[in-house]
Amino acid sequence: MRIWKHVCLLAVAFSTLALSMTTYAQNAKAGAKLRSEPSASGNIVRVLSQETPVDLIGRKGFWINVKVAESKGWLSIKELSASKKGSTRALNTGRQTKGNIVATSAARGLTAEDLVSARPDFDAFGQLTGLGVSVGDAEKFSRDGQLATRELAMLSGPTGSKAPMKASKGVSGTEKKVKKAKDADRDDEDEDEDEDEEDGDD
Amino acid sequence: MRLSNLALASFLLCGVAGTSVPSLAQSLPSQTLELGGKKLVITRESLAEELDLGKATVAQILGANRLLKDKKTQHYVNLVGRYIANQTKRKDLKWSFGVIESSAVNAFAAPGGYILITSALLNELQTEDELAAVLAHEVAHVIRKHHYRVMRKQKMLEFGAQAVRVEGADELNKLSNMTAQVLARGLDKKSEFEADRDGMVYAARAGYDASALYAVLNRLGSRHADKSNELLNATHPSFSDREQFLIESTNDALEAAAKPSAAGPRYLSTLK
Repeated sequence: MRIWKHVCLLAVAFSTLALSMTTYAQNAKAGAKLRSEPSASGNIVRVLSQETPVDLIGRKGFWINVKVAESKGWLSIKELSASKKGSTRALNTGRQTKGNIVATSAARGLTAEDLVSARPDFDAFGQLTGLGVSVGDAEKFSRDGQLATRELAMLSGPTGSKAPMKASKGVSGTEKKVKKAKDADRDDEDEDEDEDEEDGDD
Repeated sequence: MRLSNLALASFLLCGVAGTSVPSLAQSLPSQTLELGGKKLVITRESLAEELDLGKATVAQILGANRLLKDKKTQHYVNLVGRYIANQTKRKDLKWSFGVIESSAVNAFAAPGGYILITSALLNELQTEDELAAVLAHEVAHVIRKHHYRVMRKQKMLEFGAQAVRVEGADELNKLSNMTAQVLARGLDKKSEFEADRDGMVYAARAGYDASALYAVLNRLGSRHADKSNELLNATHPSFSDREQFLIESTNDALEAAAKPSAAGPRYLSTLK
């Protein structure tokens, strides 16, 4: 009995060790630039001449820390092959199990059937509207959190189900606008949609 | 059926083509819509109708899952959400955000600026950047009127082209049930991709990590599918496709904005 307990503990210890040493293989696209920093301004360590297997080590923003043979560096996620979609998920660090940040007592589920069969609660709608805060409160909250706003334009371009494959990598804003104009005949949205896309300009 | 047929043009959904159309409505910009083989001439969208549909939607969701009775959490989520909404062109809406007690991982946008997020989804998040990213996706649905546009078409089918405001308990219940059908069916993929992309920009404008939505999708996608995100999975493109789309959508400015904000840790410190 006792021996088994030790064996089990040992097995757990080894599996934990194995997990912490695991790296995740992925292919980088031909021409991918391995950089010294997770930024387009980082020095280029090397350029991969052909599709190359890399080990994923970590992620910062849209950059992946990788190991290629003896080199380490950073690749834009765009430069990873799309053949293994979602492989960067393996890099998820931190809490992997669901947390208990918000305690709820016996929370119910919410399937399509639950939603459709529910009896509407109009009183609760009033409770929700009572929760709203003012623009000023939110601005103060942002200052308390040292949040600095950024000037950023809205993005445009096709959003169809095949859009991810159509969009070319590293397309500049101007090029995207040209592309959008070319795609206009395929865009069946009404004028309001175009107004919405100009949201960033107001 | 007790429906008030208001002559106020901005509210008006008017007549089947070929029948008489109120003169006031004729002076407004209109569009023609094919519905069930019929052609309908409809006027511009109205805020009053949008708010009615929002109320009906919220009432329906809250009929299934109640609001969390935790004022601190509700207030915090409202501050983050309102601050995101401040970065959009619809700052004028009376935005309200609510956490609902639910074991399902999901969030909902109702027309008019009402956003609900489940407690189970809050439990999946780790930073304020991630909360902002999720709320920004929902805010983007409201800005683009995604649900409003689908619901008003459905409303015309079920209540007739003349229906402007729906009144009476039975009719309001019916309207709410209709919104649930729309939520259960989900939007088209294009709308979800748009909300992801717009939301990413709104959150980054607010000063949050532009890659936070990617991180959330990445984490949720790494979990085995289970009952808790059944509705989310049924009504959205796959996590892989959404991640890929976000990556392909980014430009240099967003890549530079992909770093944790100073406010990130406030999520756990406030809610724990």
